[in-house]
Amino acid sequence: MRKLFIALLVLTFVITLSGCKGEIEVTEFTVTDREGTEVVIPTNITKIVSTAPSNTEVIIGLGLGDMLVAVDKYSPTEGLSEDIAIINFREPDIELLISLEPDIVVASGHNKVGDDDPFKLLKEAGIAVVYIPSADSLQGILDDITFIGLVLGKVEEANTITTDLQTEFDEIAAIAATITTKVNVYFEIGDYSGTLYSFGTETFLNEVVTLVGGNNIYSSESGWLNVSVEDIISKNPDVIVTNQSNVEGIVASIMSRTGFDTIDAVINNQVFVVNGNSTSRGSQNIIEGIREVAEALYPNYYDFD
Amino acid sequence: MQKLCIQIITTLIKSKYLLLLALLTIALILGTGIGSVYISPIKIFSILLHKVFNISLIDSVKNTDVAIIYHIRLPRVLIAALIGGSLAMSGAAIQSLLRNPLASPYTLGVSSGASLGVAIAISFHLTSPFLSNMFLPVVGFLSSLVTVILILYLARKIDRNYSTNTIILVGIVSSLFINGLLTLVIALSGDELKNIIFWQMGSLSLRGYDHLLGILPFVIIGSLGLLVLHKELDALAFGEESAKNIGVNTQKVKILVILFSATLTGSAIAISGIIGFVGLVSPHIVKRIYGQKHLTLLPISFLFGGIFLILTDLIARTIVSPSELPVGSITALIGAPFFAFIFFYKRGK
Amino acid sequence: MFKVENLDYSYTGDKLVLKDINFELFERDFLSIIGPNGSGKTTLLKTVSKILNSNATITINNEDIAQMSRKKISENISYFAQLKGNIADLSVYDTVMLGRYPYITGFLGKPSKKDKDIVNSALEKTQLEDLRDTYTSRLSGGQLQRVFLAQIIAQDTKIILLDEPTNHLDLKHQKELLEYIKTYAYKHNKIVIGVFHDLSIARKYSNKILLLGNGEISSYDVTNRVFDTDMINELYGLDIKKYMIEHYKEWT
Repeated sequence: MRKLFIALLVLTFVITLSGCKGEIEVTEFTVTDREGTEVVIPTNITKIVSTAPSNTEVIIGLGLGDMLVAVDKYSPTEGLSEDIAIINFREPDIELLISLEPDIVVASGHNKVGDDDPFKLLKEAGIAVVYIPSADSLQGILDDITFIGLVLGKVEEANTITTDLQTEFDEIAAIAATITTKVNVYFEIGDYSGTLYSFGTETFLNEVVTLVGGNNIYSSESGWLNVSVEDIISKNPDVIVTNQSNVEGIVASIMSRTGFDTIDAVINNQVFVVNGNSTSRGSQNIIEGIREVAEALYPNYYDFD
Repeated sequence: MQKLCIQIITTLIKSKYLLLLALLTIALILGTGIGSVYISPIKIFSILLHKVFNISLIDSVKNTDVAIIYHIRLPRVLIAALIGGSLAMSGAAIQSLLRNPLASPYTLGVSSGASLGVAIAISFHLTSPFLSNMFLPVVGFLSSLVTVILILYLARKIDRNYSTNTIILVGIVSSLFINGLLTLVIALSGDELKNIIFWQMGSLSLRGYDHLLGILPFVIIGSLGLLVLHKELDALAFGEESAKNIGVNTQKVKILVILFSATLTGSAIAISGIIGFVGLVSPHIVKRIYGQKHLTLLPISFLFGGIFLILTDLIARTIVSPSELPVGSITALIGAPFFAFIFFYKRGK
Repeated sequence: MFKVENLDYSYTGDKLVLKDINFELFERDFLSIIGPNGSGKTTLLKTVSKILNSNATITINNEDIAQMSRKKISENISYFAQLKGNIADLSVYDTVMLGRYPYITGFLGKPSKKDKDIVNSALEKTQLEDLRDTYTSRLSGGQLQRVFLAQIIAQDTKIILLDEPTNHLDLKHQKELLEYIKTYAYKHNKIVIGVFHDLSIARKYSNKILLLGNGEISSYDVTNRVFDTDMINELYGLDIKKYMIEHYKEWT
């Protein structure tokens, strides 16, 4: 399956004859990026720019951390070069990027404001830019990793990562299949001045909840959505999970919300916070997020230590 | 004091109050009954009796119904009534004071001041353990009041008589300046961008009894203050000189009206975020029907604004259920065409 | 008795628009202030009513109005302005009741029985009873001026100031209004001070004339004598008498 995918991705290898001794050397090839745009990729990559934390994590996971010359301000920077350039997530400093002379920019759909391509000028300057829209499924995350491995010349490493991940997914799914009474879960990803955000289907987080054997109370909706307080109360979830780990005292604040005291999750003290980074970034680290959610929902079934 | 009570009661008896109070009751019942789950008026009644007089609930009422009605919808609907009323009443007063049909407390920098204060508090992660979730409302209220006082001070520097043109001009210029600062704060805020934007869009979600009790004293002070000045507002509506000529101390009255209006609007938007159009539309519609006598205009505008915001909030939270829309967008979407309709529809008499 | 002494006024602080104005009026006096454009007529009226503050000594029956509150001043001086656009939308009754503002006290400003009686009688005198519940936005210019006249009557002050009250009124309404005011003022021992552009009105209704030129009193005397001076022709740059006679010749 994955092999087929790679075969489809690599539409054509542009074979360039170089030198005059009849030696054939491949210096660039064309791929269709994850947004559907054809991009010419150089084979000899030494400088990479990554503009989203998920991509940065994948690149580090592929062992290419020391090739990164610039990352966005939300990306992890531990273990990377100390004088790495930090760029804005939106409206990146194009002049700075060009002066760094990267071979490739691994960009995210999140960098865009509307349909404008923030890296248009880079493309015109002859720098390869591949777009990776945010994944909406676990398979999408695996495909993104495969794709990044392909364009950065780390096909084998990518293959190892995705195979391992798939094995872990399968193991978790096998445990989940043994769970008889499934819990209803309200998963909160944001509280902006009282406007609450959760998600329905077509999101990888919904798959995470389903994979570990939970039942998302908003599985009849799709995509990211804001939800009303009384609707949450009327759906009476068994467990509340939030990944707002950057908000201090978030569990206490959710439990003390007016009207929430009738929700079973609050009555039974089943409100948990999980790591915001590993549950929101489409990289190999999603497995840590999955484990946290699994242990929160079913501590008797899962134990990953 | 006794005389005052008698007068309030006799005024209330007049039919227009009964009409609006009936409409308000209907709006309150609709607002508490309808939502992501429908709860019948009988159940609502039973829940209220249970909570107030400790009478046992009828069997069909679930625990979640009690939570939804008593803890979510009832405070929300009551807050909507107070906020809509405050915005409408202060809008009516400011329109008469400045003799400008497009004026509102927002013209005097109330909204931009509150926005800036809240944006600063959010971006710099300021909190107060003492005030807990009343912290942002207090910040919003204080910064709107400070802005208005600053604008009055500036206006006085330019023109000791506080002429309406000076007030409007200083208000608009200051608002633009503050909005510039606000954009700056938002641009530099990074992660907190969403919090600030959502606050600005206006919402009544997750507002509980603490918010209701928090806003109540300001609503009482502001609306009684304006009501006491009803004669002066009548006079000022004929123009400043004409008011002076019949004996109104216009300078004092102007400052008082602006401060009371800012108290009403400032405390309202501190709870809800910026909600537009209620303060602009409601007084116009009430004026069309009942004229401009402020003893009538002010309380009727309050009732009208309250009903209007309860119903628009009902739409905002049900139309795309289980999601919610920002109520500010609904007030404008409904308010503008409604306004146009009433405006071109001649007052029957 | 109404007395204005040493009245100077300047809008900007340096150039005086009114200089050394002094005059004294008694009950039943009807003074017309006349003068060419920009001579300071309306400004004088506004300083006299304390809409504009000057350091003049203005006394009513020897009581200095500088010592009075705004309400107290309005118990003594009322001001009848010319019609300007954009007025408030109150019922006729409520608009006339505003004339009682200086007398009404109490927390919510509820009018007393006496206030109501005075307003009703003012409505009666100005034949506005049928319109008492009509909103001011639905009245014609003539009706509106009658409403403000009723307000002045309700305010019941010793001194009545008129600022071109007949502007925008047709001849019939001009005549009715001014004749009513004149009779009313005479009957109730009032003092009237009016600013008029139309010299024939000034001549017809007032017993005293104050002629202003460049902010100073050029002439202040009984009506006929002022119109007989050369001063007036000089100020207006026109032989007034000759003009008037020629002007109205066709009507004879």
